[in-house]
Amino acid sequence: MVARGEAGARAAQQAIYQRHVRYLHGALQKQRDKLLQLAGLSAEDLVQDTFQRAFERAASFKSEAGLEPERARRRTRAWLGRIAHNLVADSFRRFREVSASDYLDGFTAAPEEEPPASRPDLEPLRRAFATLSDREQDVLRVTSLYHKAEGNNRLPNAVSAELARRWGIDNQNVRAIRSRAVKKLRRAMEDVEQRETSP
Amino acid sequence: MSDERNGKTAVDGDDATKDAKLLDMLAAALTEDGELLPTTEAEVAAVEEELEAVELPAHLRELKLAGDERDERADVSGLADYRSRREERGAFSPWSHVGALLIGAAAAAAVAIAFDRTAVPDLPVGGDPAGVPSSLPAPPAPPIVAEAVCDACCGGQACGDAKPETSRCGSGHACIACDPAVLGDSRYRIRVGAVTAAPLGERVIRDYPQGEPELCVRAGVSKELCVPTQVSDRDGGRWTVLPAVFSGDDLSAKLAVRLRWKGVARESLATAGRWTMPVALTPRSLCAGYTVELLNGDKEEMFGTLSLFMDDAHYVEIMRAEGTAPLRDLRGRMTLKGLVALPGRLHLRETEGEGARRFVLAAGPFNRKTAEQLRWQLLEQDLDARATVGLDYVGDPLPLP
Repeated sequence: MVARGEAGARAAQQAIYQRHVRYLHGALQKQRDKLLQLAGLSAEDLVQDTFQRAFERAASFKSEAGLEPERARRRTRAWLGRIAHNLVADSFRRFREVSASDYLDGFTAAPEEEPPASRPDLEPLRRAFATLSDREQDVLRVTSLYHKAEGNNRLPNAVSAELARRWGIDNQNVRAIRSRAVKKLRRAMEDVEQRETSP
Repeated sequence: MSDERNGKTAVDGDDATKDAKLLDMLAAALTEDGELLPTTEAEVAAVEEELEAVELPAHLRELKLAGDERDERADVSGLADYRSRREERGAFSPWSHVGALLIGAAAAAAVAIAFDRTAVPDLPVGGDPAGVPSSLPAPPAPPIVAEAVCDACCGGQACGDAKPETSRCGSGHACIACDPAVLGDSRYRIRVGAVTAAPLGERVIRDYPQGEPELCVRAGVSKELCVPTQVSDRDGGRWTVLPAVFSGDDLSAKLAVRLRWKGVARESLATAGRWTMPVALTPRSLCAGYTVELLNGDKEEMFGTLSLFMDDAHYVEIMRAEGTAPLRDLRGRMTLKGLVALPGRLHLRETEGEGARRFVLAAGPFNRKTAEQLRWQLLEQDLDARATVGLDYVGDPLPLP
């Protein structure tokens, strides 16, 4: 493959890019007004950075023969999504405390069988989330970003400190806002559970 | 929340599990709503049809990688130039210098991707140091209500239930709680007046001039704190606030005041008069303060008297800033009610902090319970309120109308 030369490799990269850029750009545009703004990133730059990173790391891919085209496409897009997700998460770490490899090791591939994408049990949570203040929502967005990547319930110290620095507040206050917001959501979900189980 | 005897228990574990479940659901909801990126095949499947129809901006229609760009304005000599120009635009710029090797080492695998015969890698994707975040747009400015209610009270001008003898306080207290637990839980600043000399004191000062007078105060097991004072033959003179705060418990244990001559070596000769007693933290004592009779020597002749008040010491810091303008702006958005609306309760202070921590917009002083109630009220309005006893405050406050 190396023997195909630069032109051939570049053509392959263009093809991949063309196949997935619209999807990735669309996915990032949806985040533009909230998480990306919080992270200080632009969707367009993140698209370019994601593909740059994808091609840098392409050597580590394992090809899986026999995967049907639709699944293969979705798997590649899921992978691009993870790269972009990690880049957003990286932006909150002003100083890199842990190596990127440690952080990303925890971000494992999803099993084949997935629950249905749309979940009616999330509606009460969405309603409760909408009642939170803007800052509470922002803190929980960032918390969810890291929870999805690392499985942590809490914000990494470096991230909490960076949010505190950007907002001109105390690290303690960031944690207090997070704790307060989680308690509100929990209470709301407990109320729903109670209403559903009471006679 | 947890059993103190057993440390972290199943209760704490349950809470962690509940939080994890809640965050799983929140992450799922945010992903469905497009606020987090799809990172699994199922999540991608749910949204990709809709996203395929997105219109691309012109500069994304062709693949551009590090080293590609030939800028007319600048000589692109490498990735450092490319990155710095990206950063000048204020964008996050994680272009790695490894990108220079892109065409070579990654080419083979890139071709594999072209056929979408890939598995999601379980190896990490490296990250570069975060770029400089852009500044966030200013959020809309909602009105802020700051209200401190004087309830469950027994003294002070703002207390509707005060008895006549505690409704107007020489100490200046506006609201004194009835509950001894609330009074004992607070901290206080000691404010003392100048010493008014009795006949003995006048004689000593006239006939046996000593060094400069100091007033020294000790509460409970605290260290003795001394401040310069004045000794006068008439009432009046300035007030001095001791640069420390004392707990209700320490004051209740013992409050000791002595007048000493600074620079006199022999301790037995240094003390002109002393007064010691446990303080009863009551609405009356907080309202009226104490008249301290400084007694001299074994014969306990009165050297002089002074007034002593125990002032509330708790403040709620609403915002700190490098200058006073943003603090005044914030004040402009605030509606003050109850104790906070009293003259001087909302004020600017200079502090020993530097830069963005130099000036503070603060409310107080209050007792601890009132300060905490106000702090939570402001936190609920998304202000970054902090409770403090103001140990780093400098000079006098500047009241804000």
